[in-house]
Amino acid sequence: MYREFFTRSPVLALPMLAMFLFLAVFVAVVLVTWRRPAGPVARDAALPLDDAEESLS
Amino acid sequence: MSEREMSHYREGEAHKERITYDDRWPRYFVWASVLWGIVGMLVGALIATQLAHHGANVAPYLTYGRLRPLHTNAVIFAFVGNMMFAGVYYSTQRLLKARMASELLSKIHFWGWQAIIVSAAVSLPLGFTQAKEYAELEWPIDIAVTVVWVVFAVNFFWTLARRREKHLYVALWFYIATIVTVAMLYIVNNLALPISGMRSYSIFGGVQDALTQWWYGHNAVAFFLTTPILGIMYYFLPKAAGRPVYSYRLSIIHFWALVFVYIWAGPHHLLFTALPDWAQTLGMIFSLMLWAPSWGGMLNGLLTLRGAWDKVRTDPVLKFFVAGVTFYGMATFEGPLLSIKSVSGLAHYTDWIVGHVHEGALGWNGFMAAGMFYWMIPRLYRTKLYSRAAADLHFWVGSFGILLYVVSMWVAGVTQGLMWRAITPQGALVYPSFVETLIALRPMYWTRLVGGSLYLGGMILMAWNLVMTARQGEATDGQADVIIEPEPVEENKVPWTRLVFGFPVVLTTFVIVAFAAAAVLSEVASVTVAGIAVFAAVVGVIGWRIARSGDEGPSWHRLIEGRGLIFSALTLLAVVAGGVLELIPSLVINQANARMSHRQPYTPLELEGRDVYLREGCYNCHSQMIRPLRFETIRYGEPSTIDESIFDHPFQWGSKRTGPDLAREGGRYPNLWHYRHLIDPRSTSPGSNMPSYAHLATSRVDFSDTARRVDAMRTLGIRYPEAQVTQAPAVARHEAEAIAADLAREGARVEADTQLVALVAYLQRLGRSQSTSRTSLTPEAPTAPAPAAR
Repeated sequence: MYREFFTRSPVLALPMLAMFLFLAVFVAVVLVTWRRPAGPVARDAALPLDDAEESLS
Repeated sequence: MSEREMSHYREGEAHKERITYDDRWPRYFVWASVLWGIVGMLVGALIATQLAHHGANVAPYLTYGRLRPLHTNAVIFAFVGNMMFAGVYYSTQRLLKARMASELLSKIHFWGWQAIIVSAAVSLPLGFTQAKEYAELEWPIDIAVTVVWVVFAVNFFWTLARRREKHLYVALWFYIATIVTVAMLYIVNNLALPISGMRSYSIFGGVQDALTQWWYGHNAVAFFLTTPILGIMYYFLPKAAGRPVYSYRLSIIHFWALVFVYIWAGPHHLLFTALPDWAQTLGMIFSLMLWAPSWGGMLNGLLTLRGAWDKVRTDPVLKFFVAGVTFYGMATFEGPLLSIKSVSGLAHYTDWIVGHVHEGALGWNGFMAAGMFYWMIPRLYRTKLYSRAAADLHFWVGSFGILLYVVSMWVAGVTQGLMWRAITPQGALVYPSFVETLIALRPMYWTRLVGGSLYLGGMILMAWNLVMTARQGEATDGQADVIIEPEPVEENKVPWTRLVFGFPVVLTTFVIVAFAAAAVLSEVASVTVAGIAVFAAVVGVIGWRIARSGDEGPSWHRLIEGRGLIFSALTLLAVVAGGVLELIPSLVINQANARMSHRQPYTPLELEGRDVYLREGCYNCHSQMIRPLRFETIRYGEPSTIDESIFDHPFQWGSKRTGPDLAREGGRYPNLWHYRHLIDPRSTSPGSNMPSYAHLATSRVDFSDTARRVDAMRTLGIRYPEAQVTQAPAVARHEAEAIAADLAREGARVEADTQLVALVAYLQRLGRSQSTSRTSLTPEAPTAPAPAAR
């Protein structure tokens, strides 16, 4: 079935492959990033909380 | 700062400083956003009524075609624009630990922007329009927008230069991307040739204009309605939740992947059109790729509440933010879905797209705005929110309104899409009358009106609540004692060349050059593959760099986060690369087509009629693009080709079919039918919701101005001999007299020099390679024989 599909739409195969390549790289990078400890960027992440204005909510 | 953190610094000493922020302008921008939001949505409710009942088109200046651009411009540029500026001015000062650089520039920005909004509100109903969606404002207003945007940019970057916090937080990256990209998009798409004080023609024509317009239109959504609001999410959501963003590193991937990918996705608005296939494929694939960064950002926002979900139950601010980010996730799931060609085949031109847009506009933009306002106003007036109960009620009323709106439009869209494509076993249309498919949607149009009105009611409730909050408090500029930290020595000493020519930049540049080479040397598919490989490489490299940060001192990305100028330049490069590589091939293709075309340019009267068509905003309901789909060709005729619209400055392919496609309208009906249809659409098409254009039968065409229109087209590259420019008024009058005489023979009395006659001339030309008028102009060069008109 997939052969018939790609035979009928020859231009579709390579872009599909490329898209999955992108998604695979993206997911891999996200996973690698997620596993890293937050320590070195903890201060940067907390910048919005880094002011002494009174909380009113 | 802890001792451990202090030991990181070897030079200078941290010291405390009191900063007074300039909160006057964030306050003003909030009030402007609330006011214009209500006005814009009120206009939205009116045009929703007009779609449900034609009688709501009460005056020539207040017809759907003129008011729909007013609605879209008001909610995009006035409501969301002012909301964005409020958030940017408020959070930038606090993130940079610096007061805005210039109060004068803030003042010019605020009042200049409001003046632009007022001029839009006046000029659009008067019919001054460039007739390009979300880019309708005429050239003097465009210049004003550009000037005010530059004022905003100068103020922002000047503040950036004076900052006391070296590190640029992720929200600021999104603001930078917004400022540089919107400037680029707005200027390029609005390049036009003025022919009078409030009239111009796009310098692009046909497919060129289509691609440029949707490169702009799609990225107006990306960089005006999304990136600044993401910046606002990254600042205000952690503030409201009282905890840092879930993953700072994920936000880096979110930012770069989104900025890189978004800029390419515009052609998904043009699937199955006459746009070259390679550009359509590119747009579709990049749209699908957008799932990844969009959902990365959405999850990063929602997971920020990890451990604080209990607050959502009681805090209206968090309620709005959580719902807003969830709607962002829904809209960014649905967007790529609609970009798949087979789904687009069903959904394009239907109300499904309207539902999708409002999911983002009402859910994402509107709810993020509400959450931000409920958070900001109590702080800007040093008090507490006047009524939490009212804010809660706003949330539930608004949510129910969105639900009614979006679901009714989904149902309407799918219904109409299926009715259009329904074919009998014998190969005939099941619903050959277009009006029949429209009548089926009417209950959904009334439901939409109820949903939208509920949402508007919530906005009015919010306005009351915010005013009461402000009245019980006092406008006060925020103050904060901030610790000014010295720059880390190792970061300060890094030369700019190491950053600009850093490994990620060099690799990205190399891959982009390879991509361009592939585009020149190879076929369509390899271009697409190479293009996506660029982004895979970029994401991979940046991700790798992020992942190793902290192992061997600050990473490349950590360093550019502290360099505002370099960061901005790299952001600009990221968006320019996509724009240039996508636009240039189409610009070249179209020029080649124009040279080879055998088609005859519009006659002077047809040009006059076309101006009426543009002015009345007919493109808001009628497309001029027949897709190569069987059910379309049965209904409308042969698929549109790329050379059929080369004389169209601006293009008129449209994006919605509330009425039928008009690409091959010429010759389908006699002049009398058009006359009767324009005077009273129900007389020829019972059930139609089109407004009456009876006033065109008494509005005159100024033929003394016709030569200027023909000359403008000549300047834009259309082959009118110079001598024929001077003949244009006489030729136009002669053509008009022929049509008026034909109408008179059929019993319809109308003066020849009326706009109705000119519009009939234009409609009768659509889909024909040359005019049927015997007095039409002849092109400069001999042409090949024209194919038979349908």
